[in-house]
Amino acid sequence: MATSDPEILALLQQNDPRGYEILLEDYADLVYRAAYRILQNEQDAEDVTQETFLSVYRQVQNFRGDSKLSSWLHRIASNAAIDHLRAGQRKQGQETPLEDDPGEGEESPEPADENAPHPEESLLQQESLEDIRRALAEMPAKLRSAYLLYMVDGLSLPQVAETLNINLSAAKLRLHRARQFLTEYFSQR
Amino acid sequence: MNTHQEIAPLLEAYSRRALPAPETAQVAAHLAECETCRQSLAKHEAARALLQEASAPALPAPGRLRLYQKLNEIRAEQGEKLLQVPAELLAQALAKGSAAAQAGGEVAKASGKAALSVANSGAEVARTMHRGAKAVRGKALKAGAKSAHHAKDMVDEAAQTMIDSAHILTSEVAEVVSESMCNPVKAVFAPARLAGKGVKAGARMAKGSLKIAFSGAKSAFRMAQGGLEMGRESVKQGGETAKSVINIAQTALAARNQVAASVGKGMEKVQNAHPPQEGDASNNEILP
Repeated sequence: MATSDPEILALLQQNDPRGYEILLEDYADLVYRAAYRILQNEQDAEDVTQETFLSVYRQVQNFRGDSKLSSWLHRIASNAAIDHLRAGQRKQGQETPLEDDPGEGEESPEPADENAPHPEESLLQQESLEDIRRALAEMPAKLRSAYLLYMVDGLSLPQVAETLNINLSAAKLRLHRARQFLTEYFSQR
Repeated sequence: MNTHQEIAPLLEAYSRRALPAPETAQVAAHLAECETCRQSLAKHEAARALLQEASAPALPAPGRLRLYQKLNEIRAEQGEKLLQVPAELLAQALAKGSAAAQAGGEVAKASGKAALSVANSGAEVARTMHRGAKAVRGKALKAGAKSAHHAKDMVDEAAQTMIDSAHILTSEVAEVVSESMCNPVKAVFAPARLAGKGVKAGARMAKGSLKIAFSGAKSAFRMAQGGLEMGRESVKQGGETAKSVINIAQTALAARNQVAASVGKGMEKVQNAHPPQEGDASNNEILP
């Protein structure tokens, strides 16, 4: 039987190794994926995964359990991955967009919602796996992160917002822009 | 009963397992009797599966093992109880490690073979170039010798003509002098006769010079012929060397392909390495 979030948190806050064993068992893939979706590199994603669990070890006493453990871990991993990405870009003098533009607080002109049509899905089916990987790699990291949480991990828009620590309209906007990006990417080819 | 209009917008969320339980049940009931919606759902699921495959790698076993090690290092520094690494993970990491070692050995073997065949091809090129250099050198020596021979003939011929002319002139002058001494009348015409002999000797010398010039031209022609032959030989040898170089390039390409195939096979083996079913590994602690 799966251990609940409060049970795991209690074990972690007692510094019981069993709590970490469960945490790694249940969430190592989630953390790795969150990092990989931003970094698009296996080694960097592994480094960020280690960093994330070390942060948990150091900060778990301060976590009050207001959000789900998965959301908390995702946030730590995403922030660490974004820092990692920025540090790498500074080193190489490059700039890869993390998001489309800074106007994320604005309402989307046509906010994405759960019932909106999804033209990118039929486009995806005509593409090879390699082309989809390339399209995702070129998508701004924050859009990619929101889009995959929604599409692959099956989170609802409020859950995406909670996981990424953004408000609901920002989550809708990211999803909308991610879909727009894919539609344009595959239509232009 | 739900209609298409009510169900169709829910299919995408249904494919992501993101619908609340009551709606999930409604969609499932509708799908049981609606082929159009089943097809639509299949498209959503196919797109989702593609995205999942393109975007969702799991942390590989060696990385997972390093994660346990890292946490245990920190805990060991603090004197805390260490985490236990699941036996399955240890066995998996072990299987991958041994597959990697085996693949590494095979790649090294293929690389050794490739290096040997490339070295052999290189030696063949060196041999061809050496043969070529020897042949060109032989032609050059032959052409040089021919030229030298002609130059000697030319000088000999020139000297002989001069000697002959001088000889004739001397005997003719002696004859005129001797006749002049015996016959005073002939002595009156001697200067004119001597002049005539001189003109004749000059004509002979001119003829000799013409011959020398002709011989010189012939020699130059032979030298040019020798040069052409050398050139031809060089081109021929160059062609053979190029052929050998192409051979070595082909060998290197084949060798590279062999190594690449070996690396590919190795990667596949590592990828597919699984621990034995009835493993005897038990839970172990990973010490820092």
